[in-house]
Amino acid sequence: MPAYKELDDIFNSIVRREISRFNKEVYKLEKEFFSTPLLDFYSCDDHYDCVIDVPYMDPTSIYMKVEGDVMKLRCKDKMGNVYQTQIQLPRDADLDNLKVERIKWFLRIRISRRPST
Amino acid sequence: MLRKYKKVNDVHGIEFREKYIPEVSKPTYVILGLPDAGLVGGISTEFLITNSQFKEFAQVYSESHLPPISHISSGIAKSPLSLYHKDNIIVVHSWAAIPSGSLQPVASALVEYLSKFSPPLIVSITGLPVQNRLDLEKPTPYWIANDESLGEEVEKTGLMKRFEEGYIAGPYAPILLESARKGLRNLVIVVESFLDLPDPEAAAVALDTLGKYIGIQVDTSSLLKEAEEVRAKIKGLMEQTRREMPGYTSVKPSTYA
Repeated sequence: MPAYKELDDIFNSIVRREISRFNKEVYKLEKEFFSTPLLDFYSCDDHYDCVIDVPYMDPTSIYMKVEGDVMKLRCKDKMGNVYQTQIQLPRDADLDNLKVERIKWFLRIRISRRPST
Repeated sequence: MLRKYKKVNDVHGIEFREKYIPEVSKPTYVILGLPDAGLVGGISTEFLITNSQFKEFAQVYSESHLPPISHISSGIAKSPLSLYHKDNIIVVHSWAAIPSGSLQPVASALVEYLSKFSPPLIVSITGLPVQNRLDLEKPTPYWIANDESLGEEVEKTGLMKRFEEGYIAGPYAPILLESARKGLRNLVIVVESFLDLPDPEAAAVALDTLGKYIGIQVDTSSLLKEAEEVRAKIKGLMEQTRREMPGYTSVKPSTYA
């Protein structure tokens, strides 16, 4: 058990630990129930295109996050089914230049490529 | 007592069993729909058999060459590879991807069996994965033939562009060669498509092109209307196809390269 100078620090530490435990449980539960969406990943001259197909997608449920070189995507369809995937991005993917758009019934994530030095 | 399908052919351990001998008028066209890029062939033939009242007359069995998957139709388990007919058309449709190691023997057995109908033409339908598929208003159909005279005939119609150069892998490649070996003409309609996403739009283009070429009416409007439902229904087949054939149909016309 680490030592704390303030009582608040002990309290905050417990809360953080509980939140972390709760998030892990939620992740485990979701993993049991989510599907992986179908996707195509294209490498073009100056960009990458990731086309994701989730039939009956609820566009308001799209959640995207980039951690390091991994892009995490989560969304739901109109029936409430959860879709989740993570994509390892190539080294020259410019994560500051990323565009997400709905085209027809697909979700397209376009990521620019950094020019090679 | 089960109603038995009669064994009529057994090549490479691949059995063709017929429920009855179909009466097909001449000229008999064979249309092949096997899962590969964008499931273009599979979506096309499934649309044909379900919307045009095709009748199933034969099933294909193999312990070593077909995946351990049964297609269930109205509660009845069936082989994943079945044959259907209507008027002068025979459709070969697979409800599951054929493992890449079995493509050659399946192609050989299939062409051997189909040759008994003496079809003047076998038409395969497949997708051509292109990077800009999402930006295309309407995907373009191309043709590949296993015979020069057939190529000239198709070219004259102006319905499809010639697939200049590239390569074709996957289920249709050995069928092109096996049918040439047996003296049967094989045309592959190749439509620009997605690679690992089901592409009903590309299938609609393939069916329109096929209809005009062999002179049959195919109304694909419902296929486009129900595209979302089609994609939802065959997500599992797309995943299985991707697993079975990691390197399938990486074709590219030189016009695109």
